[in-house]
Amino acid sequence: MHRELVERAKQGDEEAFDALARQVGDRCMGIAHRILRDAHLAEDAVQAALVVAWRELRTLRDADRFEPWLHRIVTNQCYAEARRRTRWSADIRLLPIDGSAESPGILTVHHRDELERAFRRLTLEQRAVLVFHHYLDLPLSEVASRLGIPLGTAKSRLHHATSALRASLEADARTPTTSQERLA
Amino acid sequence: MTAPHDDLIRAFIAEGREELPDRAFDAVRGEIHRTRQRVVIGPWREPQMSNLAKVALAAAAVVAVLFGASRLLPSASGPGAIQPSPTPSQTATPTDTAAPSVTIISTGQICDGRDRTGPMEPGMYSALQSATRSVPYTVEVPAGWNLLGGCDIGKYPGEGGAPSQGEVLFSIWDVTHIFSDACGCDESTNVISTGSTAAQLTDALRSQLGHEASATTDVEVDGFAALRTTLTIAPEVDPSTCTNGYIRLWPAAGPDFQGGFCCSPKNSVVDLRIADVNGQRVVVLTEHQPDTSAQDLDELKAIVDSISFDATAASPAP
Repeated sequence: MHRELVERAKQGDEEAFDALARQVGDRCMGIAHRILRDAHLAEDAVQAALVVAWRELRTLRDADRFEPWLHRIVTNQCYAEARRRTRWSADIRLLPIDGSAESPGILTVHHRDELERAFRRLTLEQRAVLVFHHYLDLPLSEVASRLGIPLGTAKSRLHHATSALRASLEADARTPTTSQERLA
Repeated sequence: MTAPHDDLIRAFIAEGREELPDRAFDAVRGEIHRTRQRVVIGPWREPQMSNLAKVALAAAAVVAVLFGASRLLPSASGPGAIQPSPTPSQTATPTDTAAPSVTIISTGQICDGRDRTGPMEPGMYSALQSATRSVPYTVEVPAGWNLLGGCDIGKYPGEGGAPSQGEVLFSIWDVTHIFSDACGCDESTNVISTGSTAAQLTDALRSQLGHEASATTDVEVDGFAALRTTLTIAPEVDPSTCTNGYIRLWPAAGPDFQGGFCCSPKNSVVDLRIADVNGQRVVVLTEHQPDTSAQDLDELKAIVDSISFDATAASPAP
């Protein structure tokens, strides 16, 4: 679908790259927001990733692999943005936790709070595997390929991350008296 | 078959923003107009290329480089010879940006709440008192240094001012708490209070996991007594395996333990001078890498030596 735009953008066509960015940008935002859990950081990361993609586009050999290639760049920019912001937040505004405003669905506010806490304790690399596997609905072999990591590493990260999230819910289930008062 | 709670985990991951705002696309459009695409030279990775062809091409490239060098470089003993620097300083990674719109940060106030990153005009910079900085100060910054995020001063930052492997840093902190394990920081479980004196903080840092701390020595910063200790990120610690993938020594001053000093690369050296400025504890931090040049270390020392605290404004410790 993107092949023609990618080929034109590789020749330096800025209009084509702009059109391409508008086709894939929302999906990149979806990935970045789920890894970083903060819309401001995610927006910065995607913006930076698109500029990197433009700069490096001629190194992409297979135009059909543009989106997977871009997703890896987005992920790397998420790592960089999180580290950059953590260091600097001493003297700039502290970003509030960017909670989701979606309809609750099967998630109660309480579950979401527990999962949020557990998710924030995961490494960024573990979060990325979770997001690629569950949000993009990719098999682990493709997750490993897109993130540029061995399959075993992807399995291990997914196992650790999922266990940590399950544990947070199970621990919570053992304390039924927990009040809603401490919830965000 | 899925384990209990997996449907909840999937639902949690499914939640989030799905739309990149127009302002981001507009910003990208403006940025790519100023950014040159990287040129790819040679079919180095084409699978159909035979090994013999690769060797031949590589050999031709080496010959061409040697030939070119012999034509272009002046004789080492000639009158116009350029002697290499004994300690060459690092150079920033060249970018492909054709006409970068770099904003030079003028002398004056820093740490003023604005998230600014960019090269600094050499000269004097001042940081005022704030909720996270009890003692105002002034420093002199030499040429070639950057403001990183509004307050830190450094060289060789990563893209957008992000932490990098070759970074050299200077910053000043109020530290009220540290993480007991710098590699396993967790705001809810391993934050420990560090008292109010320089000795209490150095003791806490020396027992912190994740680095090797030197012995503490007595020094002065701007005429105020200070304790100095050097933390070297332990060679056996791989920051990518730490919580969030980075080393984090302490959180920012404040009730929620967010932010703070993080992301020192493996083997980096964090040099701390913990001063007592009229009863207020101030941490002067520098960070460098094992391969940081002597010139950069000299400049870093010059910045530290230039610190002038506004002791009259120092608020007493609670």
